[in-house]
Amino acid sequence: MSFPSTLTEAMSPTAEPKSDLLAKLSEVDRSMKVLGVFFTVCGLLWLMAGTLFALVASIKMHNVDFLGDSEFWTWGRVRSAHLNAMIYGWAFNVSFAVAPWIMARLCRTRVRFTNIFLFGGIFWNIGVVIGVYGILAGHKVGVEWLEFPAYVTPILALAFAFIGVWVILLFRWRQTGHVYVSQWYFLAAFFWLPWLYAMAQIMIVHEPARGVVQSLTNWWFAHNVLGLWLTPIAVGAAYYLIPKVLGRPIYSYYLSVIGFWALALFYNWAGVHHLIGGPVPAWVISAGTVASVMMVIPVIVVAINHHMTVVGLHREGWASPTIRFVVFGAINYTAVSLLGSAMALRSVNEITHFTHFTVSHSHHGVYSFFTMIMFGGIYYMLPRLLNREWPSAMLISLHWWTTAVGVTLMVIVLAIGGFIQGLQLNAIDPETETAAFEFLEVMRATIPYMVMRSLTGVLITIGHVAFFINIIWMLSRRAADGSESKPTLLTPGA
Amino acid sequence: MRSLPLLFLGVFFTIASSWVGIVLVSNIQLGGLEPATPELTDAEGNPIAGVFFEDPETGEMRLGLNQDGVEAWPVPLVGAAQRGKRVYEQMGCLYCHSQQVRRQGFGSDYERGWGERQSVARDYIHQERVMLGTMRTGPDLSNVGLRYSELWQHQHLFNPKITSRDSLMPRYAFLYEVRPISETRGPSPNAIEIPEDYHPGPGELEVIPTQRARDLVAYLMNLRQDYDLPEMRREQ
Amino acid sequence: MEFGGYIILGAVFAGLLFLGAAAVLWWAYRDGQFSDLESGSRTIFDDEEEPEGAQTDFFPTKNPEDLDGPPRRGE
Ligand code: HEC
Repeated sequence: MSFPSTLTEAMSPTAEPKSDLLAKLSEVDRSMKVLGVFFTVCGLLWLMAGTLFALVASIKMHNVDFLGDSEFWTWGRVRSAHLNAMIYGWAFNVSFAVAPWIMARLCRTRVRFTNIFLFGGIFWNIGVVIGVYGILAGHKVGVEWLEFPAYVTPILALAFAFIGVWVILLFRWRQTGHVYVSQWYFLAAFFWLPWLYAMAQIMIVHEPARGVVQSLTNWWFAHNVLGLWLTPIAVGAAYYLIPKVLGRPIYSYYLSVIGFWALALFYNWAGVHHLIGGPVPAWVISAGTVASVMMVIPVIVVAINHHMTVVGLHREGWASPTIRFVVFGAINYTAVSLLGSAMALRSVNEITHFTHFTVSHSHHGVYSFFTMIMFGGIYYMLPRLLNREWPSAMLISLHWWTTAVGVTLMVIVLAIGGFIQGLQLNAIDPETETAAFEFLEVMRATIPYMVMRSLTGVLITIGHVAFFINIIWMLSRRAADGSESKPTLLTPGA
Repeated sequence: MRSLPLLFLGVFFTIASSWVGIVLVSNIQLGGLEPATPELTDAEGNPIAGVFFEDPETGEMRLGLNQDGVEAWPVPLVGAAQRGKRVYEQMGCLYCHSQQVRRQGFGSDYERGWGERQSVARDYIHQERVMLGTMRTGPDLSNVGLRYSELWQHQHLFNPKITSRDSLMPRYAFLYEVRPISETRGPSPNAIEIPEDYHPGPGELEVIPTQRARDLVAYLMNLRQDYDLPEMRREQ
Repeated sequence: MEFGGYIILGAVFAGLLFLGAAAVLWWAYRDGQFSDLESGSRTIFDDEEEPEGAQTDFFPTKNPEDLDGPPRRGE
């Protein structure tokens, strides 16, 4: 068998690049075209579906009679449909689009066997369709982030196996000696995810562990999907896109090494802070709290690195859609992570736990940070894959302003509402030693914030529609030839 | 950095460490928990405080034993209550309701009357699906079986506004059958009483819980942590 | 096995892990994995197509030198 020997060969630090696959960047782009477009479009469709679910769920939170008699659209299901469509639909697809493309460019290789990846991708999306439908039809599993019915597991696992294998192969074909920091993040992410998913599926869905061990596994998994999958994908993409767009190398490569390992070391312990105060052993919670606080290190490192790379080039950056989105995401990575470390402290957690503050925090992470960086990635990637310019600068602007303003307002509104909710829930009247606010009072006080959340959601939806139109418009155009405006500096002089 | 094996080794060890630490070790610690009597005894049958006792011969700490002839808790759900749990899962009640009481002094769980004592790991050992919850849009339900009658639960599920003004909880009226009152047999004994303002058709229609509604209410009525466990006898 | 045993076992594993990590780091250092770190950051540029010093993304109509190749910053 030659496979093991070639695999080790590929992993050997001294392996010589094989020059027969060496490609120019524009050639790499061309060879990734089908994959990049396929996953972008799938992700886009899921983004729209997830947005629809989000709006319905959000309206139902203050207007309970909206679609009130439909079992299919009952709040508890729409909410899960929203989460799963956004994570497994949008976030995974867009990761499959952007990360391997950056990887291929860094490997400088002409890709082969793209059908493996495409096949995995088709299966993945079939799995997600069945899963989301299963949730709405009432086959869901009552575990946060793992709601897909048990029969979807094999489909997703198989799909990811194809995708993961192809990414390893892609890396094996690399023509460069150096492994850039983005590649570490991507490789690590593609290695971590199957481990997480397999363990969670086995220990929770298929062979449930006893009692609260399930809950611990649940939050180990759910937080790590964020920390060991979405975060490395987005941080890796930012490490490529920021220096690449600005034409200025990353400020300190040395810091990026430290940042990567600190993230790898600490993030995967942090998830259990979702169980503070719960019926789980105190030492697990302490470990989780310590790890959450230690996350300050990689976060500050990445913040310094990204900030120092951009500093002085703000005007140039503003002229680039990619930089606008990516820098917005990078700033929010810092903000959301520092906030997350604070929220893991017992005294803060006592207030924010069980409230809309947590909802604010998760949108801060998955949207303000991850999704915005991915938007930036798509703005950079698609013109290069299609050899076509974005059709409308106005739509890009609209997308940028509505989503940036919309999500920022949403995060603020929910954080304030949630914090007040937490304070009111906890307040104890010192004289009577009973709760100072009736539960229904606390609940009623959240309604204005729920209404405002829906309004910010409408704003974000407008942005998504603009994005959708722009992409579809771009795809339906004919490829650029001399007569059309040139794609964004793709091949100068060509 | 150029060495891939190094990268893979590091990446592998980091995740393995948290998996072992969080998942495996807590499984070792908690995976063997069994139902327990409110008080445990040492090898001679003398009551002990807490869960462990010191073996007089070896000096080792050992797990206490259940008292003879005393019922051990918790007991598993059976029948309708067990089926009702599945309904609870499918409807997504989990996303608005927690099922864990925190100790007195942590939040206001105790002051709100959500439980007389803190929930502990042993409370959940029989549950094939543990729904501790992370959100309290609605109240904690660990002990909701002790708070309301079945009728209250039915009315509340049919339309939460009947019992709780302005409630943000969705109505689960689709778990109820609304049908004309039989002219020959008169009103069904299973029909639930609905106040006039919320009634779909007073005097003509009646509201009958479906099997799922009855299961769900059976489950809710079984949500209680009012038994004593040996953990509680330790100084907190 | 009671708690004391687990704690000792855990300590042994933790110690081994730590020593392993230290050994690997030492090896990596000796092997030169950490030498000349910064040069790696330039590998993303390409002298022909996307050279260092040139911005490579603009709003579609705002690219000032649409036809003359990438604008270079004076460096
Ligand atoms: C959108 C959030 C939401 C969902 C979903 C939800 N609830 Fe509620 N629930 C509430 C709110 C808010 C209250 C408090 C107001 C009230 O009593 O209606 C409440 C109260 C309750 C109460 C009374 C608790 C008490 O101590 O007063 C019970 C019982 C209950 N819900 C059961 C359920 C069940 C069973 C489901 C699933 C079929 C469910 N809830 C789904 C929000 C929700």
